[in-house]
Amino acid sequence: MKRKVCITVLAIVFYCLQTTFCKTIAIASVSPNIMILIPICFGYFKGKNEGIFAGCVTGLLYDVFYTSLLGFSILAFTYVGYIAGLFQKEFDQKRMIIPMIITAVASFSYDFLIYVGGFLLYNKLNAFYYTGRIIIPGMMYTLAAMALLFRPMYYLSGVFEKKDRRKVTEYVSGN
Amino acid sequence: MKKLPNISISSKQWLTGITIVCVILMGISLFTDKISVPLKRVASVIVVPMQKGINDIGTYVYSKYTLLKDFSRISEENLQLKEEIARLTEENSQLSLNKFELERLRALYDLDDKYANYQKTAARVIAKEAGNWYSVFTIDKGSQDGIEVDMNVIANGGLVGIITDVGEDYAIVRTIIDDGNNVSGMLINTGATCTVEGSLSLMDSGYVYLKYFKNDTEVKDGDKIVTSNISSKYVEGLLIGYVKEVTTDPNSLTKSGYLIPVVDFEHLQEVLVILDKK
Repeated sequence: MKRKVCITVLAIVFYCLQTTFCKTIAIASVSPNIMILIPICFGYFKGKNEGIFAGCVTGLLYDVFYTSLLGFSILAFTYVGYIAGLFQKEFDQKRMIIPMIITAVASFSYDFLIYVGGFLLYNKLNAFYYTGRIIIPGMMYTLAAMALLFRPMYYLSGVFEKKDRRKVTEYVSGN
Repeated sequence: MKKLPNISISSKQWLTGITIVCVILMGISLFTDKISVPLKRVASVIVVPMQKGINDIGTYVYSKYTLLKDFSRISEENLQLKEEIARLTEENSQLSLNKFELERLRALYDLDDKYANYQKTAARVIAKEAGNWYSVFTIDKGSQDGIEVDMNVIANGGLVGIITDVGEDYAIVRTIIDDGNNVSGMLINTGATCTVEGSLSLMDSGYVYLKYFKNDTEVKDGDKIVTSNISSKYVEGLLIGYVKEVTTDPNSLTKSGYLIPVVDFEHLQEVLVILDKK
């Protein structure tokens, strides 16, 4: 329960940062998508259920103000969290290659879906331009953000883990 | 205490459930945006104050940074400005004489100062769209400051966009450079109408498309484009930008080219909302 609250708070903080700070550090009008890192990290560290929950919360926030199609990001981020959760058994604190690959694939697919839904269907057929100008730079920037945030996120997920576990042991020893 | 029965839902079941809910949500939101109104209200209570706070910190840091950078330049500029003030005061007295004459002549021609007396309110940009695809931002004023959907937003003397969504203490603005956004414009000197269309593929140049001039329209680079009198949502006569490279289309019926917007959309911090609606 505590970690669910933690995820929600983290999602709100990341959302606020993404709409303000990340827009300030945008390079050539492309900013990193740090929101998508939450379902990836929690899915990868803690498993499918946590990933799904984190995806739901972040997706809902992502959608609520700026997306005309409510539910799209919830769905996308939930699947991202679930897929990241499938790799939980591969989890190794020292190896970052798997979460980086998940981040790259997730960021690329999410933006490509937006391109298809919001641009391709409106007769903007120049997929190479949009891929090269927005999707790939956005993905690289998100990867950089992941490299920076991987350890802090691991630490955060661990803090609440410890507290939860202590509570369980207290409960057990108390009885 | 009796233990609650342990109902466990597998992650696959969760996933299926959420998928179904989301698909239904998307289906509904194609037809109406009523469903997101309560969600927006809840989210805005938490998110908007935080965005305002972060924005305040950012503005503070930035202003301190520029202050340090500019200090030596400012003192030099101060001297220059003092000289200029002296010159301007002199000029001003002369101009006020001219103004009397102008007012008299205006009254003669019965030309009302049409655009200066729109009611406006200033607002600050506190957040931008989360992704990289759309040019949409949030301002820190909402329905409690009298802002409504479809009000026009201006800055630096030019058109910025239009309000698409209003909450209690925030409003969402869609800019004219947003992809697929259309504004009906006209040439200020001849009144020839055209359409200004935002495009993501022009983001590097900073231009937007200018389309559908009639083929016999005389138009040259640098001509001013303002919002047209036939637009249903934009009030008349707001400056949008300047014409660039208009040529005849392959169909020989229309002319099109580019428009350089007046507003610097990259560094937008403060905007004015026009409280009069068309």
